Amino acid sequence: MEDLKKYVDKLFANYKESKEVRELKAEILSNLEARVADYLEEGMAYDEAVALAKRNLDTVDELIPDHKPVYVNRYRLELLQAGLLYTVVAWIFTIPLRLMSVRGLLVNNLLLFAVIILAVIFLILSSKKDESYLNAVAPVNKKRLNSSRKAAWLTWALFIAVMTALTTAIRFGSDIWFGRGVHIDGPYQFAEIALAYTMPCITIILPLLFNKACVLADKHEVDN
Amino acid sequence: MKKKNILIIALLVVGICGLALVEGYIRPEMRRREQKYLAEQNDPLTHDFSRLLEFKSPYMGDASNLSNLNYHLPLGGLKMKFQLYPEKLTAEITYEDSIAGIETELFERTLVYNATANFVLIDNLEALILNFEQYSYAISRSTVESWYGVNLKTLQDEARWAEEVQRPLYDRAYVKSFIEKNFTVQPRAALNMNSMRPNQKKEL
Repeated sequence: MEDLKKYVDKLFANYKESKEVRELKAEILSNLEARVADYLEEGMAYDEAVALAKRNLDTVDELIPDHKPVYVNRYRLELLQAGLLYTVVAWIFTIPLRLMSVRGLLVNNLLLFAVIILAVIFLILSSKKDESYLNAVAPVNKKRLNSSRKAAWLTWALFIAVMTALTTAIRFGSDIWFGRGVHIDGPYQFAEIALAYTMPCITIILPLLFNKACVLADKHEVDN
Repeated sequence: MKKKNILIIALLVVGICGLALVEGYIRPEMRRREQKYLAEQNDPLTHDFSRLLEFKSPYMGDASNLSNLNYHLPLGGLKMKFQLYPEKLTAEITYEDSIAGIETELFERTLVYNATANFVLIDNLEALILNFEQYSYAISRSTVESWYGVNLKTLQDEARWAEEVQRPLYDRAYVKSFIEKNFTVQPRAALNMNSMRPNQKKEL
């Protein structure tokens, strides 16, 4: 019956080991063993009995709650495309920052670098056209994807709150502490301050990607 | 997928054009203007007085303020040494770099401009000594005040500064007259701080 254990392990290869998965594995193995025992009692040869039992159970994707089979390579490619699109938009928005400060220049260069890397990966993956690659299926845990999306937005909101507080402390901390009025001398200084507050918002592309991942998981689900 | 690919390509074209505009035109233009502005700061006729206002101070003893003020004046790019005599409310600035490459006309109006700026912006500065390679130029607040005929603090107003201090410097005769009447000039070799009397005039 070692053959059946190996087969069950293979069926669960794409799933992370958890209590739920372990229980399901044990249940499926005992079912398969019972089925093989039945076939043997009916007079079938061992190898034939095992092969027949395996044929009756070729996937466990639908047995695991919240896991949905997805055309994983199409899903990844479209997610990569969305990432590339968001990064290009962020790069364009930060081009004027090149004139404002060294930090702005650095942020824009980093985004340009990210655009180049993503574009190269996207081009390589887009060039793969064979059916087996495009139709490869893997389970996606939708529940976990949704929780990750919520966590991403929460982390981002927290990050923005901390950065806003930090910028306020650095720029106006002493004015607030000593009760002095805040002076902004001109449009350049105003732009500089506005920039310090808005620059961290570029990171919004990360939670947006989690949103997109949820949408695309639905779109590329095998049943759809 | 295809529509988004077209959108990405269109955005990349926009981004590359934007980058070319920023790096190929706007940044060089900004650099050129900055260099022009910096070059203008070396001549009293085009110097931007507003950049000095942050250095106004009631006390001449604030050494960092005084040095910063002079670094932002014409000749501010030269290497300088500062010596303060608080008991005499006197500041002595020694320009260690050579002024040989500076034309006389520019040098003379710079003397007038810099000395006036120091008195206008440092309230209790009574005397100023400017040492160059060969000569030392001493000047006092009282002579400058009687030259302009106003309380020097009133010249902190940018419009008045431009009208009463900067504009007359176009007139060579005015500059010569200011130096003759207000500065005490001594050869450096014969210089001794204790013997300097800012109000005593010597021939150039």
